[in-house]
Amino acid sequence: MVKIVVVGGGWAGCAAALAARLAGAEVIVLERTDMLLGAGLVGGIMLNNGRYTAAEEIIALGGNAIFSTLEGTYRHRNIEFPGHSHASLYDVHKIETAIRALLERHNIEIRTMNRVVAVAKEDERVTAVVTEDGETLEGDAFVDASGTSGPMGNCLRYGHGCALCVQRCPAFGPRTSLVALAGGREYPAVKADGSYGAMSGSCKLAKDSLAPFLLEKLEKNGVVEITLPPEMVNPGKLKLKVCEHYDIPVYAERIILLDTGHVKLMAPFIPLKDLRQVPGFERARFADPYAGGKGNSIRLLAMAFRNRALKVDGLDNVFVGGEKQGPAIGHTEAIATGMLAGHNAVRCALGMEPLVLPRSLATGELIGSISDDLERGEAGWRRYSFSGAGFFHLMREKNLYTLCRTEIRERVAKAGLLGVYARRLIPAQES
Amino acid sequence: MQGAVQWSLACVDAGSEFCPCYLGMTGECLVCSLLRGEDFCSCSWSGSCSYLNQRWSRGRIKERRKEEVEVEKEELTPGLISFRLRLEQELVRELNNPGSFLFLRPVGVPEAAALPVSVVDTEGREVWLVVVLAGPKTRLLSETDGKLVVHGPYYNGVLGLATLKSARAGTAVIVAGGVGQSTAVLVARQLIRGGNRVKACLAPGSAGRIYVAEKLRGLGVEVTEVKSMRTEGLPFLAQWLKEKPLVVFSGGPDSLHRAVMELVRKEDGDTELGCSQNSVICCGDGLCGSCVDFLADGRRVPKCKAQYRIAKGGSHGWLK
Ligand SMILES: Cc1cc2nc3c(=O)[nH]c(=O)nc-3n(C[C@H](O)[C@H](O)[C@H](O)COP(=O)(O)OP(=O)(O)OC[C@H]3O[C@@H](n4cnc5c(N)ncnc54)[C@H](O)[C@@H]3O)c2cc1C
Repeated sequence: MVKIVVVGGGWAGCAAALAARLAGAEVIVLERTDMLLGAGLVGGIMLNNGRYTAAEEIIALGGNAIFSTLEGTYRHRNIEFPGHSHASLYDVHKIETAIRALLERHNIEIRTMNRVVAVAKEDERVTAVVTEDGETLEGDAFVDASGTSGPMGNCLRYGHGCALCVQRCPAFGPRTSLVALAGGREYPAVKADGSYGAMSGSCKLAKDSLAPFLLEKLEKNGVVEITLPPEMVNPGKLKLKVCEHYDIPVYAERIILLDTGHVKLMAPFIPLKDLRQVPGFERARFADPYAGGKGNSIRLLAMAFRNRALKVDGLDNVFVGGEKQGPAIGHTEAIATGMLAGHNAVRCALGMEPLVLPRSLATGELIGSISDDLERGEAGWRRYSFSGAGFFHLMREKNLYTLCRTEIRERVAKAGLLGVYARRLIPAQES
Repeated sequence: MQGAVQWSLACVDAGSEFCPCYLGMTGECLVCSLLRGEDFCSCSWSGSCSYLNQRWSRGRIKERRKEEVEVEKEELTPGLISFRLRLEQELVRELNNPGSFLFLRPVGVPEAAALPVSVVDTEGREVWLVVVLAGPKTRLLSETDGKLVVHGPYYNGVLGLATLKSARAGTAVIVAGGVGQSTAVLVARQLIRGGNRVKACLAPGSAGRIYVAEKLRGLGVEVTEVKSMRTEGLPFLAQWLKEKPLVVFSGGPDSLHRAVMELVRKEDGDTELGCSQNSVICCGDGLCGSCVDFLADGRRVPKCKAQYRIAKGGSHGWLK
């Protein structure tokens, strides 16, 4: 019996758990808070720009379960907003229970309010993790999908203090990285001015605090753009952001709202007294982060040095997915890398060669580009996303971006990887 | 085979009104990597952020109370002295937790003569402490009549506080001997608050007398009194361990802690441990260096402030 322990139940952890389970392993997910999906609880934008290609590719690789679950949660499909085409928005209030049910159907053990605080190691192998209440959980291989947000000390040092975001560190205890506990090295994203980390790029308003005329428009179209009075425009704020793909001037000149169940406002934070000057926002209040008038969570501070198979350097049986594996931002990016980390954890436990995705695939190119940065000694200099800025550009340049499903399947087939995540590596009778 | 678990430190004062402290100010905070001058937060979390506390406090450090108070002194046996003090209600409330202690010294003697003394128990505004005559500090105390200088509150007289606080609705065992008995009552109160059934084995040890049996019985603890912990008490403990208690608390010298730990390990269960703090504590604020210990990476740790996480099954860092 192969046992895989996944630390962190964000998008990456959930995807890793599913992949490891599909490969036939016994899987347990340990999540610090009382909900799965981490930053995914306040996001929602899927399938925009190159994320469409990446999602179809994950489906072709055998990861369709996640995307068919997502189908049932979209509030808006195929919408456009500045710089972004054919986006779908999932409902942040429906997604968690839907994904939880998916994992439960696959008999994945989910333990919420189980924060990992220590590891047991034998040479370069992690043998067990220990949770806050002292329980020791052994595993054959581990996935660190603990993300890179916070904790409070970092949000204070590199941001404007704890803004009470959905990660809720003061309530559940801070993010603690398995890689760091096991003695692995980590690196931060480096901003243009040499400072570290990045501030989350959107904040969310409570729907009923918006004026009815705005809310109606938003719920109908999924997106609303409002031009700001010139005195409120602060392009400097863009530099703070984690999401390079929204790092274009219109995001400073206009308020862009998206309907994700919350009113998603595409700016890291806006002082409430300023926001309330804008017609329709007179009664605005924040739903996430709760102190969204003051700041937002700081991320990308603890990424692991890992190889192209997402195995952590210096640790024999630890794999990383999501933001932990490098500065790749987004749900789709977390799902893409999480699936590979979970799949390779099982291969590792079975003593098999790990899977490295070729650069003819979008995920292979994403992981490869970050590996190139690591090898060049430029760890953390760039940020990546299928949907924007440099990497989307690169995808188009390399003809990786396409909306043609058949073409994507053919690429995956050509790489000999059609349905690779869905095939058991461990025969059923053994598990 | 399972590798060795690597445990993190906690600070007894983190999150209390005495956080931040001088260690935070001087870059030696036990819990906060940022205050230690590192680049990133790698907090082991004790419910509050020391970095934030330091920021909010704007460099102000709260001093503990220092008062001259009238004491009621009683010689229980030659060499064993009981002190009863009346203190302000707020202070007493803070002393009503396992591991709390005060520094006592006669008025007019140097501060270096202040003796850390465990709070045995509190009642109303009264605090009860017991001193066994040993060296110059205890002798100075025994010779005073009237007023003493009292300095406190301090909290780290017991290690494994998190374990004691998390034990719920099971069985708990206390073994205590000598002046280690002084930690037993507040530990028992905590365990009873957690809904645990508590058994205790007490021996006179260096104190020459059992002085907490009555108190413990009054709380509903099943007390067994023995003449010698080593020859009579430990066999009792070995028996009790078969019932797989949630926690065993050892109040006494390090040699008792080691013997208890051995027995717990043999049982191979999930029993966790707590014990009395036996290092030489002089200032209680991590400054004087008398209780300093060194971690594997060379970091200095004052034991008067450090709490160690303790794994189930008896693996722990504080006894070398
Ligand atoms: C406000 C905001 C809006 C966003 N909007 C979008 C969007 O619309 N579309 C999009 O594609 N991307 C969006 N993103 C980015 C995207 O959410 C993230 O890049 C992605 O979800 C990261 O996933 P992850 O699994 O790597 O990390 P996280 O989501 O951070 O998950 C890590 C999980 O690990 C847990 N954890 C940490 N330490 C421990 C421990 N020691 N023990 C147990 N558990 C632990 C945490 O509680 C958390 O649940 C947004 C991000 C933010 C912050």
